[in-house]
Amino acid sequence: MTIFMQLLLAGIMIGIVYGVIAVGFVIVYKASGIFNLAQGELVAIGAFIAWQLLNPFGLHPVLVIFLVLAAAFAIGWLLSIFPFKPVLGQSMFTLFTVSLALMIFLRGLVISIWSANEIRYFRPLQDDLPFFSPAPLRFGELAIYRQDILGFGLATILLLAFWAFFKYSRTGLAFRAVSENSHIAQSLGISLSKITALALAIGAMVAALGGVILGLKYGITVYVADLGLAALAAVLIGGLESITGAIIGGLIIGIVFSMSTYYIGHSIGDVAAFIVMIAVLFVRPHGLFGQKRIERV
Amino acid sequence: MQLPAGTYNISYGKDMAVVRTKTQWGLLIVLLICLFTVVPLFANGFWLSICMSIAIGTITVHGLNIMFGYCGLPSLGHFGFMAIGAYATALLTSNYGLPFWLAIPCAGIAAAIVGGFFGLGALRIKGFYIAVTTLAAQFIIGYIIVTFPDITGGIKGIHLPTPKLGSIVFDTDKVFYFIPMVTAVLMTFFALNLSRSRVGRAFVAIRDNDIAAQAMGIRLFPYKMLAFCIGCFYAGIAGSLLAYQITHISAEAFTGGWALMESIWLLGTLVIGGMGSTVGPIFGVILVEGLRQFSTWAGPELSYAFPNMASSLQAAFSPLLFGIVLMLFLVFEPRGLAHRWWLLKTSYRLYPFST
Repeated sequence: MTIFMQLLLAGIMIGIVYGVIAVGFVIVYKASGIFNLAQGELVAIGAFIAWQLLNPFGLHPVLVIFLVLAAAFAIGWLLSIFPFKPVLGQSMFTLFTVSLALMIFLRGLVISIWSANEIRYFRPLQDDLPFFSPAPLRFGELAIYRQDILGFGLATILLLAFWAFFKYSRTGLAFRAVSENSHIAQSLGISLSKITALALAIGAMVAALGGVILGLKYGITVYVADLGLAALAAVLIGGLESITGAIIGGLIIGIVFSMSTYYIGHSIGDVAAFIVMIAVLFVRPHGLFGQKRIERV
Repeated sequence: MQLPAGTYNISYGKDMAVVRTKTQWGLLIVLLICLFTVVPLFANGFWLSICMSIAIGTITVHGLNIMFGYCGLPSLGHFGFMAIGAYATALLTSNYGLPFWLAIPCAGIAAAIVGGFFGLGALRIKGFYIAVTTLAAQFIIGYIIVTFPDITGGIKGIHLPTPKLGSIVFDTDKVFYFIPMVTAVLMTFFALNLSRSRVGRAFVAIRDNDIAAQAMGIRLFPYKMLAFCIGCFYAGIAGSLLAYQITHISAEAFTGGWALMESIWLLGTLVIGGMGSTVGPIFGVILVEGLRQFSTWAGPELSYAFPNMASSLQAAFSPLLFGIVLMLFLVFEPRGLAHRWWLLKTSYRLYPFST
C-alpha cells in the first residue's frame, strides 16, 4: 500500500507538469485553431534555454525562471509572425501541417545549437536556494523530492495565474470570445492576429516551464520534446476544447506513467499513456470533457 | 480537364482512358524503357540507390496520399506501419523461407491488419484525434519491437536472406533495382485507377464532408476502414522493400523519436508534392530525396565554414532545410508541386493563348 501511495504521489507530481503542457496545447488550439505539434519542441527549447542561462552563464535560479518565461513569450510571438500569420484562416489541416514543419525545423535548430546526443543536467541548486537539498522530504512513510515540490508549485502557480487571467482580465475575456466564435469576436473589434500571437506566446511560456521541470527530473536532451508529446495524450483524454480536461488528463497520464513504469517495465512510460488514450477515445471519441460538436453540412 | 487540341472523345472507353494520345503513349513507353533498361545499365551504385529510395518512398507516400489526400485521414505513424511491413518480411523469410514475391504482399497485408486495428476508431473519431491515434500507434509498435527481442531481434536485429527468383539472384543493386521499381510502377498504376473508381470518389466525398457523404448513401465505416487498410498496405509493401534494400533490420532504425520524425517527413513530402493527386507523391519524393542528398553534401561543407559547431550542424542541416522548404510550400503553394505541374500543362496546351 505504501508503494502504491508513493507511486500515486509521484504520478500526481509529474502529472501536473503534463497537465500544464497540455493546457498550453489547449489554449493555442482554442484561440487560434492551430493544433500545434511544435509545442513539444518548445518544451525542449525551454529546458535548453534554462540550462544555458543556469550553467554556462551562471545566473540565479529565480532569475532564470523569469528569463526563460520571457524568452519563451518572445519565441511564441515570433512564431505567430512566421510561419503562422500567412496561413491563418486556412483549413485546420494546413495549420496542422505548418506546425509539423515548424516541429522539424525547431528540432533541427535545437540539435544544431545544443547537439543531439548529450544528456545535460542543471547544476545543483542548493548553493543558491538553501532549502533545495537533494535529500527527499519525508511524510510518514512517503518521500517527496524537493525538485518535485518545486515543479508542482511552479505548475500550480502558473495554472492559477492563467485561470485568473482568463477569468478577470479584459484580454482574457477577448480570448474566451474568440474561442467561442472567432468571426463574431472579430466583428466586435477583437484583433484575431493579436489574440493568436498572444495564445502562441502563452503556449510557449507554458511549454517552456514544463520543459524546465521535466529537465530537472530527467535531464535535458532533445528527447524532452518527445516527453512533451506525451502531453498530447493528456490533451485528447481530456478533450481538445477543455482546459479542466487537460489538467485532469495530465494527472491521469502522470499516474499511469508512474504506475506502469513500476508494475510493468521501465520503457513502457509514455506508451502506456498512449494506450490509455486510445482506450478512452474508443469509449468517448471527444475525450472526457470535450464538446461533441453538432455539425451542419 | 482540358484535352490537347484535336483530341475528341468518341466513345466512353476513350473518355475514361488514362493514356489518351499517341504522344502520351510514346512518352509513357520511353519513360518505362528509361526506368527499366537505361537506368540499370548506365547508372552507378549511387544513382541506383537514389532511384530505389525514390521508388520505395513513392509507394509509401502513395499510401499516405490515399489516406490523407483522398480520404482525409491524417496518419502520423506511417513509418510505424512501414516497420510492421519490414518485420513481417524479415520474420516470414528468415523463419519460414517464403520467397520474396510472396513475402512482400504478405507484409502489406500484415501492415493493413495492424493499421485496420488502429483505424477501428476512425468512424467515431475525427481529424486531429486520428492523427494522434496513429502517432500513438507508432509509439506502441516501436515499444513492441523493443520489448520482444526474442521475436524481433531487438537491437541486434534480423538479417534478411537474399531474394531469389528461379535462377536469378537479386544480390547486387543492379539486379535488385527491378524489384522496388516494378512494384512502384504497379502501385502507382493501382493508385491512379483507385482514385478514378467508385471507391476513390467515395473517399473524396468523405474527405470533403463526411456527413454530406453519409447523406448521399456512402457508408462511412467500411470506406474509412478501407482507406486505412489500403494506406497501411502501401506502407507495409514499402517497408518490406526497405527491409530488402538495407538487408538487415534492427530496432534502432524503426523506433523512438527518429521514427516519429520519419513519419512527419513522409507527411511533409506528401504536402510538398500535392495532396489528392497521383503525380503529387512522385514529385514530392523526388524533391525531398534531392533535398536529402543536397544536405548530406552541404552538411560537411557547412561544418568547414563553422568548425565550432561542426558535428551538430551536420546532423541538423537536413531537418532545418526540410522544415523551411515545407513552411515555404505551405505559405506559397499549399497545393504542392502537382498543382504547378497542372498549371504548366494547361498553359502548354493553350499556347500561345495562355497567359
